[in-house]
Amino acid sequence: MSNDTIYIERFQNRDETALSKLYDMYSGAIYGVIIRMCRNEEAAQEILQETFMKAWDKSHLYDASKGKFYTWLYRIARNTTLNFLRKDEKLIQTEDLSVYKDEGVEENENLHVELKGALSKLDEHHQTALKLVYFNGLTHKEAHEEMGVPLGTFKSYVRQAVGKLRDIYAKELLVLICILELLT
Amino acid sequence: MKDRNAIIESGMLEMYLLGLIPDKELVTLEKMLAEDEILAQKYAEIEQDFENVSLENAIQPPDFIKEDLFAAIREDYVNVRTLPEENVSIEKPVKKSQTFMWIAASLAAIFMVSSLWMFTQWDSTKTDLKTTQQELDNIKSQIENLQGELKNSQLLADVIKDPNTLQYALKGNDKIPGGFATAYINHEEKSAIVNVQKLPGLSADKTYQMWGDVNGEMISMGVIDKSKDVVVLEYINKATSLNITIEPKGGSAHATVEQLVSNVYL
Repeated sequence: MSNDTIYIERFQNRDETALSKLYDMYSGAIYGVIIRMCRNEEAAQEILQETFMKAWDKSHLYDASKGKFYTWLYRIARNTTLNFLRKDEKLIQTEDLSVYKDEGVEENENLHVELKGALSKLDEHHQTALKLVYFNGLTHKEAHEEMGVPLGTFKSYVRQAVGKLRDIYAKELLVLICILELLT
Repeated sequence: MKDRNAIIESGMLEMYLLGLIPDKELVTLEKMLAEDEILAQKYAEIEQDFENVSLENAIQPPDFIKEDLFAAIREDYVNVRTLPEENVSIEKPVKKSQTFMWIAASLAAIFMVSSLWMFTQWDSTKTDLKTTQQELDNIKSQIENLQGELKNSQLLADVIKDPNTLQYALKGNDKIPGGFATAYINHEEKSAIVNVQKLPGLSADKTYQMWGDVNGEMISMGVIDKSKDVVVLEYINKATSLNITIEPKGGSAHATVEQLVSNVYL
């Protein structure tokens, strides 16, 4: 049984130490997603806390046979952020939309949220496709409109991008195995 | 119900990961994932890759969020249980584990950097070794060529020094104006050597061939290899003349007399 599984089981038994471990493991990754989605540092911090609160509250609903713990956590974070954005948008639209737009740009520039790692190695259209659905929280329908390409094309972009990610990670794993074999 | 490939190709797995599958399709897909190992494996790979992407793009949140989170949890949930051995405080083990995590991360980083460095060095050494091996092969080939040339020069020197060696000049006709070859024939040793340095080059599909005339019949002494200055040919007994013709590449069994470029009587 892996350490993750032990911590998750303990987390489901409402063990604070396990929550602490899982927070240390995943808070950075989840915060990276939230901050890219909402582009607002203060809100992202609140949403991160709310995400872990919800996870703690609903821990009994997590079913390991249906997927990874991180994926489950990601979905909570995504929904929480989208709810925040919808609420925020409603509030702002009743006031002055131009103010919202200006503020948004300023916040984006101040946040260092450029993409790194394997994702940054993909072609620009593949990068954008994954960024829109994964980091911006858009549905496929919203994202294809945002990119200005037909839905079918957009879906192909996502499929191709996922395939390319697989290739990159598989190569990295191979290099690591080679290094380890050389060292043994 | 869609088949496995249709599900993979439709991008449903990615949508499932993002939580975008409508409820009515969700049950079917989850049933398929539970029953189809290959599909489940494919989904596990996508999940792992997305998790890797997230970890690579992680942004460390401020420490106070964790403190606030635990404060909020303690406030909201009075029935929180902790394991006895970790019951002292939530902060201390976290700090301790963080220190260990930092040490482990540093060691892992050092290990990775040194491994990468060693791998680079190994790769570079392998390339150097390959280059050196190629250079050695070139030198070996040059030495072999030089040894061959030395052998020919020594042979030529030995033949020329021999008082029994007769020298014949073969001047080129109008087919090879200015062309010239020198034949050294030793009837005692029964050897024939030709210096072909001054014979003009031919197209790749042609070659010079030398013949000895015995009672009106041209007998081949061999094909002249123009890559060498001195060529050892077959000595022909009772030859009355030496003849050079131009033949198709590889030489001919019978001399093409129309292509005679030089001859000399012995």
